[in-house]
This record gives sequence, C-alpha cells and structure tokens, in this order.
Amino acid sequence: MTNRALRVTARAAATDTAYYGELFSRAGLDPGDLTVESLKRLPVTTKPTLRGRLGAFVSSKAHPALLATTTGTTGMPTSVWFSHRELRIFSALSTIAAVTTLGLRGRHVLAYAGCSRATLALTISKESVTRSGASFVQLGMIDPDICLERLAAPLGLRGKRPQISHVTAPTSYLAALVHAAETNGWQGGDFGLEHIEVAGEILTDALKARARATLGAEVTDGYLGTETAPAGAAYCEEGHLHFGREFAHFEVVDPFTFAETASGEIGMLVATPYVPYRDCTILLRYATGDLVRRLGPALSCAQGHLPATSPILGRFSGPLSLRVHSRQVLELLESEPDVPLPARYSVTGDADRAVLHVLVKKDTALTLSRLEERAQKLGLPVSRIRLYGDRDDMPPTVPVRADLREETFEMKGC
Amino acid sequence: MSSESAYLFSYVLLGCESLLVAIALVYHAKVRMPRPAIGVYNRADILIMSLLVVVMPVIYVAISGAIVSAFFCLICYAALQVTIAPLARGRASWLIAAGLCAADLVATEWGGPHQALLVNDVVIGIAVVGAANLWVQSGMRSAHIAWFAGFLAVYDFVATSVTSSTDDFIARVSGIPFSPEWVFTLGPNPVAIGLGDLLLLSVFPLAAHRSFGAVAGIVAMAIGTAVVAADTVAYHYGVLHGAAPVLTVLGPLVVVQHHLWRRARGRERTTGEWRRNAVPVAAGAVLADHDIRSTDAVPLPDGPTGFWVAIDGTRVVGVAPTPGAARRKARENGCTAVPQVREITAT
Repeated sequence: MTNRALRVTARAAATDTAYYGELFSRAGLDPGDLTVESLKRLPVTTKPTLRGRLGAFVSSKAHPALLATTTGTTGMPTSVWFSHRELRIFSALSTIAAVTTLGLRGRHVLAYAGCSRATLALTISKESVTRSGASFVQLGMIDPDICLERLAAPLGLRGKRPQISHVTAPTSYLAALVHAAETNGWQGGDFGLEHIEVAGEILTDALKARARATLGAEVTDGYLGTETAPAGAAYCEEGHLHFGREFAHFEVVDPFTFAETASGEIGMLVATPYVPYRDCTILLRYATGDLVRRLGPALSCAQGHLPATSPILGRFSGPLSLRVHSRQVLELLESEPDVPLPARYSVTGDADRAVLHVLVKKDTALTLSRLEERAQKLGLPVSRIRLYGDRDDMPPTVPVRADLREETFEMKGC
Repeated sequence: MSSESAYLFSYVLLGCESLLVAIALVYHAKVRMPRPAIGVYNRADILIMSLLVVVMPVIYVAISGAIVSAFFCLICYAALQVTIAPLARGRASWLIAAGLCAADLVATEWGGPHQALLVNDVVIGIAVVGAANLWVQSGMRSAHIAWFAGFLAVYDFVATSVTSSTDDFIARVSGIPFSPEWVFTLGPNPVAIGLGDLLLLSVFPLAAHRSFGAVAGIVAMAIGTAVVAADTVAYHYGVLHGAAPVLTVLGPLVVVQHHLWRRARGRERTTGEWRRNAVPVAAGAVLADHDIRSTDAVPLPDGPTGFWVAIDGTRVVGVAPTPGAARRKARENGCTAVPQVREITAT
C-alpha cells in the first residue's frame, strides 16, 4: 500500500510540479517504479528550498485557494498553497477527530486561543468545530489575563455549557495562561474547562500537571504541521508517537547526511504527504526539522502495529540541538516555580560544554541549586546553568509562539 | 451439610461477591479491553437484551442439557478470551481460555463434585469480570443499565416469586458444565447466586465509576454488597427460604442511584472523557431557558455602571468589573454553581 501511494504521489509530483520534474530527472529515478527503498535516494526537500521556490512545488493542475503561512518560530515563516478540495478534505477529517477524539458535541463551546495568522489551523478548527455542532469562539492569542477572564465568563446560552468547555492553543501560550492563573490566584473551579488541546510545540509532563491544577482540565497534544497536513501522529498511552499510514510516509533520517537512522538513534522526521489528500503543494521527503528518537519495531502498546518514534525531542538547529534536547530543558524549567512561563532559555557552547541560560523571577542560589539538582536527575547534558533576572542580559532565547501576542483595546484601557 | 455450615458458606459467598466486584473495578481502572466491532450500546440493544432474558430461560428448559452446555461453553470461552486478551497478548489468551473451558468440562464430567463447583465458580467469576467490563468499556451507559435493572426487577419477581421459571431454569443448568451460577455448597438447597445477579452487581459499579466518578462506583459497589448481605442475614434468621429475587431489590436501587448521580453531575461522562480522566461535570451543565429567565427577573444592586453582577438562582453572589471576575468572586463567596452574569447599566 505504501509503495502504491508513494508512486501515485511521485508521479503527480514529477509531472505536475517544476521542482520534482527536474529532481527526478537529476536523480535518475522513475516515479512509476518508486518504492520505500528507492525513495531514500531522492534528496530531501528542506524548508529554505520550499520557501525560496514555493511556486515550483504547486501542481500545474491545482487551483490554489489559500496561502497558509506557518508561525515561523524557527526563523522565516514557510508558506504553503492549498486548494479548495484539500481544505474540504482537511475539514472533514478534522471534524471526525473533533467528534471522536475530543468528544465535541452540540453542548460544547471551543475557544481557539491560537495565533490568528496561523491560517490553516484557524480555518480548519472553525470548520470542524461548527460542523460537529459545537460552538466556536475566536479568542486569538491575547493577553493571558484577558484570556483567563474570557474563559471564566459565564456564557448564558441555552443548551450550552455555562462556560467555554474546550480550548485549543499553542503549548507556550498555555504555559503563559498557567503562569497568569498561578500568579493571579485563579483556580480550576473558576473555569468550566473539560479539555485543552495544544499543538505546535513540546508539551511536558510538568506543564500538563500545572495546567490540570490551575485550569482544571486535562491537556493533550499530537503532531501536525501546516506543510505536512493532513498527516500527523498521535501519542499512545505509553508515550510513543505513532504515525498513521493513510496520509503520509514518514522517515527518520540523520539531519546531516539524510541517511536512514538506526533504531535507538536520534534523527529528523521527513514526511511525504500522499496525493490525493494533497493535490496543490506537493512535497516529497519534506524535512520537518523535528527531532525524534527512532524506536524498535516491537512495541507492546495498543498502537504497536503502527510506526512509532519517541515524543518530539526538539528542533534541529545544529549539533548542540542533537545533544541538549528542548524537551529535557522544558521538563526541567516548567517544573521550577521560580521560572516564569513560558520558559525563556538559550543553550550556548558546544556539545561537550553546553551552558543553559535561564530567565528566572529572582536569581537566587536556592533556585540555581534546585535546577542543578533536577538537571542532574533528568540527565540533562549541560556543564553549567546560568540564571538571569533580566531577559536583556541573556543570549537570544528560543522563540516561542506565545510571543506572537495580539493586542486588544482592553489592554490600552479603552 | 448442617445448617451452620450453610450459613457459614453464605457469608463466604458474600465475601466472594464483594471481592468479585472489587476485582471488576480494578480491572476497569487498569485494563483497556480491545474494542469489539459492534459499535456503541444503545436503547435497542437493551431492548434486545431484555427480550433475551425472558425468552432464553424458556428455551434452555425445552432443549437438552448438552446443547445448553455447548451454548454456555461458547459464551464462556468468548468472555474468558476477551478478559484475558489485554493481560496475555497473542495466542496465550486463546490457549488460557481454552484451558479453563477444558478444566470446567473435565471437572464437571469426571472430577469430584467439589472440584466441579470450584472450577466452574472460577470460570464464571472471570467471565463476569470480562463481560461487565466489555459492556461498560464498549459504551453501555449508566442510563442503559438503569433501564435494564428496572426491567430485571420486575422480571425477577415474576420469574422467581410468581412463576416457577427460575426454579425450572436452575434445575436444568445445575450440575452441567458452564452452569451460569456461583454455587458454594452441594445438596438440594445449595448456597448459590445466579449469573444475572452477579452481572448486575458488577456492571453498575463500573458504569457509575465511568459515568460519574470513583465515589459513585464505590457507593454502587457498597449498595450491591449490602443487598446481598441483607439477603444472607435474612436466610440466616429464617426470613427467606429457597430462591430469592435479588434483582427485585437491587434493580430499583440501581435506578435511584442513576437518577441521583445524573442530577448531581448533570450528565454522564463518555468513555473517552473517563479515559482522559476528565472530572465529572458540574450540576446544571447545560443551560435551560428557565435558568436564563430566572436571572433576568432578579433586580440588580446599586453599583458602578459597567460592573458585572453574578447571580445564582435569585441571589446576587458577586460583583466585579468583568464577567469572568464576577464568576470568580461568586466562587470566592462560596457559590459552587456556575452563576449567570449581568452588566449594571445606567437606567
């Protein structure tokens, strides 16, 4: 099935896009004979290549309808064209997920607290929520204090939950909400939240626990990207990230050589979303930049029959990112009450002498010793932790989606 | 067997019943069963189950014991396999289930009477844990079980106390392999409890746990055990003789529990919400017209224009500059329900 789906996708890419027509000729590959093995000989498509030649990836047979742009936390935003047909397919699939996985029904009200410029997520979320019969509230990524106030506000709507029941937000913005709730004395009982779904960034166990305590709801996440939609992955009860076979072929490759990674090794996720679910911007072996550890084939979990990796460990940004994983750093920082959320940090030095720079509420010896002790327990390979009370004194920190804050008139006191 | 021994065994049965329900609850909390390809239970399934409860005992009495045994063997095998499957993956679950069925058959046909009782009680116990969990994990709701329990309360009274249907059925299945009952003593009036009683005693605590939370599950288990205990004490002191309709007492208690929890929690949790450990929803979970109209009738207090008032029923329970802050103020003032909010406007 995988070989057949790959051939259909490769044929469409080779005949209908300028980029892959040329690439197949140069690689000496016949798209009609492509297999999982021979696909590995095709060069990966990187983000800069897609950004620089977007038109060359758009099918000559497609009718582009929507230019969706990523939030660009890794640098320049990447754009992808989608057709009407693709948007309809994504909405249908997302509606099924909303009803079956989130359990959305007519009585629920979901608030979208993501960046309004994350076009695809916003469009599909609104479509799927309203198709499920639930109601949709577009909050945007506003000041966390105002967002908490809106989440707590009774709705007074007949046939609906008394308050907003579900929230979709980027993970770092959830961290900002948790921080604001903890700082200003909000309690779980102030909200009517049943479920919080986060996406786009790493969700740690520490943040889950703090969100459960302050906002009163369980938090779940999955793996989905604008460029690779509708393909994604979901976490099983044992914490493996499982990739369905229907919508894309995923590989784990060495981020330097792009060779296949062995079991137990860390590599970068490379995705080939299948035609016909994708018919506008066609991508083969797209390098997502997301780092995972490849798992062995024998898994005992309920989804053990599906390909799986470790949870997302971080983003590839050079040799240091392979050694010091964002997940470990965030697990450390988000469990420390003296670190304001979302955690601001940077990692400098080299793989053997990495230094972790952290913004804290107050730079004290006690905070440092707690962080050092826990870093040791977590096995975080840093030689030193440096604390800062002022962000301006720090090396540039890792950008987060919560930085894409939207202003409201309330903030200006109008 | 002396009457003192029979009394002793009736208390052993009570202990075993409590243990069985506790095991079913632990299994429910810890084990995720493979989902059968039968969809989610609905009212039509409950209607069909009710019809089968009436019809099947009549058919069992009319056909030979061997056919009844073969039928129960198939049911037991399926129940055992599906119970063991999440704990012993692959072929092991099939082999263990087959081994247990073979042991029941051999013990009944060729073993001593005590071995036969022991093996059959183990097989039936595992099957009850599996069947109750399968029903609840496949989406059978507390409301479905309440309907079913209400029906069984009437049926059990008619079948046990008005007609000889239960006695005829017990006479047909006693001593055959896979007999659908727990029997603890030999003789003409054994200490025993039927499979139907065990299933309802086990399945409602699971559904209550899933739908309304752990407290509801434990309360349901305690009430079920109390019914069996009352039955046991009644036998001990000679108030009851022969077969007693346990479900006639338990059924209404299940219905009452369901309605009280439904009123307290607002609605049932789905299996998905339970798996995500979502908290049971608060009272008044979905607003009705009268909730909104009653709030509109409440006169607002004097206060700064633009402030928001939180109203619970007809009481003002908080005032604050924003609707969310008014809701929070209501909570700080001890209001546990979600209040309505209105803005103070210049008149």
